[in-house]
Amino acid sequence: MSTQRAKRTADSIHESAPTLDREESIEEVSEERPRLADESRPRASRPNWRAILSGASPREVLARTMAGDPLRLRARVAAALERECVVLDADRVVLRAAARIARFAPRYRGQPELEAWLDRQASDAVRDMLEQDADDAGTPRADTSGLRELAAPLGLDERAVHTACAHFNALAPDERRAFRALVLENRSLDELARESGSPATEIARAARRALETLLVAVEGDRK
Amino acid sequence: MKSTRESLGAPERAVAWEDSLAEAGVGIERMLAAVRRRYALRMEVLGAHAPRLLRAQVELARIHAEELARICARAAQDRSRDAAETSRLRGELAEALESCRLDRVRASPALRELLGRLSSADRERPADALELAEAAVALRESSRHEACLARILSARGRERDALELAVRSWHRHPAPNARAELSRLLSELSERAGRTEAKRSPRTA
Repeated sequence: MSTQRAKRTADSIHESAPTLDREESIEEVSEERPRLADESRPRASRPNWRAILSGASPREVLARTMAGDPLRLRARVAAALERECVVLDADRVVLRAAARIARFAPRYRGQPELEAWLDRQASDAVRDMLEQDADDAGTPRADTSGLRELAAPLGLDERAVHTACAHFNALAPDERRAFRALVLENRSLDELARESGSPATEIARAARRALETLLVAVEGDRK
Repeated sequence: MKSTRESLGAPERAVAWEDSLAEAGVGIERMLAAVRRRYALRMEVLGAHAPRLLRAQVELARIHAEELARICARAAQDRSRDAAETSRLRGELAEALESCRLDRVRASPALRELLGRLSSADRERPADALELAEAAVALRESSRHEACLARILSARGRERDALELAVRSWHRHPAPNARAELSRLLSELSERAGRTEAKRSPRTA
């Protein structure tokens, strides 16, 4: 998947949230960094990661993390979903990532770099959701509003979509990538072969295996 | 966790423990249910999605329960009795309990008592692996925790109970990755049950 495409997806998810500008990312507003002369905004108006991550309780940290998107969680989750090439309700993952950060913030001691730590929390939130979905497969969750909203207008059965997503996410990474690129994004086989350096037949076979798995899963669910 | 009294035919002590755990509803689960009720009520009143913060709080409560479940399952599996590992586990448990306390998440008396025994060096009454595995399943009904409980049951000679639990788990968790682990477990258990059966049955000439 191209970096540009990943950035576009991340930006499209990110743009609706009231967050810091790129220039104001948490790393850059750290108090240790010498302030530039042209920085005109008052210091107090800028969120500081220590102020966001420290609190009397995880619930307090959570409330702070959820006010807007000071830690750029939407963008981080979008990037994590892109990286892992899985289909999940992104909003659920964002909430999980925020809850993870609130819960594990007291363990953070400045190592690794905060950006890397937050990205790791987003990736772990994706992993948690995959685990939850694997355990709950076949019984749509009450809070999977994203799937319901996607399925209803397309005339799809919510349960079948849930099953198909769980099976898609359980596929091998190369199968997921091939299926998404060829079927969901409608990219050409030649372009993919050029980009990845893998033989076109191999990519096509991987996509085919993924398609067959999904068809069998959805068919089995109907019976 | 679904009561195993009927299906597993557990001995009295285990039944008593399970009843106390189920009766108390493992406080955390109660809190989750209360938050869900508030969530549903708001959905009805507002005719819209519940506030995101409330949904994030449900997720946080779930993480608290999962952390305790993870620690219980790890302690149940740990047979190494390695001092460093025990100390690490106790450190994690202390941190998890402190986090629950700060968020006012309360565990049932039975769970508190069990975690108390796990966190202290009580040599007279150490936390039992079976109790810990059952607590893990009660806190987070996952295929992994159920597999852990089934393996412990099997190791204690309760192959039939272990098999029944594994089969129930197989039906409850149809996702391929959950089933991959359960398939391994089922073949392990079948093999072991076969061996035990062969030992028990009278030899034919």
